[in-house]
Amino acid sequence: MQLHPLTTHEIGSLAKPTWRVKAFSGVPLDTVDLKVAQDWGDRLNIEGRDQLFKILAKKKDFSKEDKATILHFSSLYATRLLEQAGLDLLWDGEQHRIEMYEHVIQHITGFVCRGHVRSFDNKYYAKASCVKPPSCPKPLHIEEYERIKHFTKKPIKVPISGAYTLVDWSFDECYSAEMVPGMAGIRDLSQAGRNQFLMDMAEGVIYPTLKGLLNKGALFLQIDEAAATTKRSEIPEFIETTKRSIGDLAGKAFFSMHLCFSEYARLFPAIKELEGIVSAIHLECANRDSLQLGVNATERTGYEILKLFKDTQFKIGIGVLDVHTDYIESPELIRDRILYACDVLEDPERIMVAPDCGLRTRTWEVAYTKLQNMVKGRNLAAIQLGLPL
Amino acid sequence: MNIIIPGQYPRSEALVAATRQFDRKQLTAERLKVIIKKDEEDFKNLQSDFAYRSTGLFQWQDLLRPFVEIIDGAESGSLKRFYETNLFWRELKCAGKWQIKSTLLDEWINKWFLPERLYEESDPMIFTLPFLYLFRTFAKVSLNDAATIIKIVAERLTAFCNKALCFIEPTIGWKQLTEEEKKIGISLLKEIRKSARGPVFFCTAFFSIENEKDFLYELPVDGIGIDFFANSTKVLKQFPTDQILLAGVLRTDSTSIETPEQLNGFMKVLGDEMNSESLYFMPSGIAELLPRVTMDAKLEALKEFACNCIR
Repeated sequence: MQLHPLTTHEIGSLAKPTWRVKAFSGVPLDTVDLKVAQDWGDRLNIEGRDQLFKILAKKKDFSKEDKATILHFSSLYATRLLEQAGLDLLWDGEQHRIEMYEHVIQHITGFVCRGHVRSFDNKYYAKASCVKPPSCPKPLHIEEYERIKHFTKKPIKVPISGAYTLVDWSFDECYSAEMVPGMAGIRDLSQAGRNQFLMDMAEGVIYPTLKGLLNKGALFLQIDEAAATTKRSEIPEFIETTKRSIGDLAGKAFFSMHLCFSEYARLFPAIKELEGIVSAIHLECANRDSLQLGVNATERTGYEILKLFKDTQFKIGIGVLDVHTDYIESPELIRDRILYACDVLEDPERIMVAPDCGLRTRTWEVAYTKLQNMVKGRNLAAIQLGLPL
Repeated sequence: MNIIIPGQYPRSEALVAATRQFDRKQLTAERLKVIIKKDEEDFKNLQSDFAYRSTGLFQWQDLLRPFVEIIDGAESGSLKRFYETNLFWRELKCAGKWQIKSTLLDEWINKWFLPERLYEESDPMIFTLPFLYLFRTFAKVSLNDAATIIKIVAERLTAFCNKALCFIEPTIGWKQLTEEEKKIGISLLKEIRKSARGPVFFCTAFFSIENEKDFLYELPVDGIGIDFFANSTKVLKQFPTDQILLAGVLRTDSTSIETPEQLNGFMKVLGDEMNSESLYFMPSGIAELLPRVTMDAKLEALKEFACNCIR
């Protein structure tokens, strides 16, 4: 589980190719979709791709077996894309999953989807209600891991949606349904119900998943907790949920945690309780940063937050690519972001390099170019720091 | 019936799908308009017995977004979390002086507050505006400039007859306000209420108001909204006798439909202090945090309860 300084990885998701999306949603493929499959297949030198082309040539009415093959290739393509971009830790861009919330909810028990609610603008997401204590019939993501590990010799990092985020993004009809509005102690009662929900999700879903993956040989496990700082008063609950999720597995794998678009200052000092349990914390920084070159605080505004983490024992994953824009960060800009981070933390061994979040909203062309530049930028920084490439 | 539903009501699944298709250029603007109209009509029918009815604000993306069109040089900025929920609003930015384009005001009000052919001019309606502290939370503007903007719009809205104005303000209990900030808020409400032809309501949400009761109960408004899933009825001890209590009894962070027992339970813990004319019911937070089907079902349950309550 040793990682070299400035280890690179993608956070989790990539866009799904149109030929995979359309095949699964029953929309007929067109010649552009076939060309995309052909072009990326050639570019990534995907072995056995003729089998995929043969199936896609049908354009519609794909059988269950066809879809399984399409999914296999979608996963292989995405893994290769990350590998050929030069990343150190790999995954398949979550090609097996709908997205980080709905996929999990569909594969565990205790939830019913209630409809769509707004996330922002005209973007909505399917939100489920917990109707009985959550549990998972079998550990999540095992099949994905088993498949992807045969695609590459590089180490695999499995992203897993965290218990706190899954709870925070769900409604609750199980733990505090009977409350009378305005009753005495209503806030405490509500919090007690929520705490139980959190613990059940941690112990009933996430712990068995982490354990299952560990038993299959997965040594890099990333817990995604986008919602960690949503509720100011619940940082202790978030910390406790993480402890329960990992439990006695601490030290047996490299556990990292991805926290994006969060108010990081709220995590202190409580997050220090996770030292020795979680090895790395990955942060979103590029979104907050300027595009100017330079290694001073004036240019590197997005990396000021690293000062908060300086006196912790965590490795720190820094986001160097903004995932919400097609702007291609130059290797030099990425280099400077890394060098500044090294300067703040005073130890390149503690730094990992990644995009701010999953690149699912970018095209493969944009994502690939951004990631290639990320690796080039990492190498430029390594040279400047006298580190091995 | 003493129920009000200010703010954005959840879009139907059909409208959610339609806006998505529209954004992807798979649906025409005309077709989208028809689906919006259907949502508006359905919501209007759901409120048929209400003292004041809302349009549902189905075209709004958040309560600040329409201001982009009316403030000179304003534009939408980055996403910012809406208090402690998983809803995000866009920050309102303005390169120049924060100033209303007054020549566009009437047209702007017609577009955003009075959807075509939905209500008659004399129909009782409730308009919603973000209050000062919420506005400032999502706009890089001074409190005084924000107050000027809100005052201009609010005065125009409260000049209509038979209309209530509801200010949404979750900042109370979320962030401590300075005495100066409180003064600006009180002064703004005084000004607005001076000329208002209908009631002015002030709705808190999500947080305990315990530490801000004195300020809240001092506000020159006609009604105060309290989230009763974040507060017990103990907070009502000094509730002003001349004001309406807007009781947030439909829980917006749970899809459980409130039962008659729960709603009766609320009346019990409320005791005899409130007479029925001084009591309105509403969602505890903002309605659009729930899916449409759920919110409709909650509202039906509340209507049934309110009917029996009156009898």
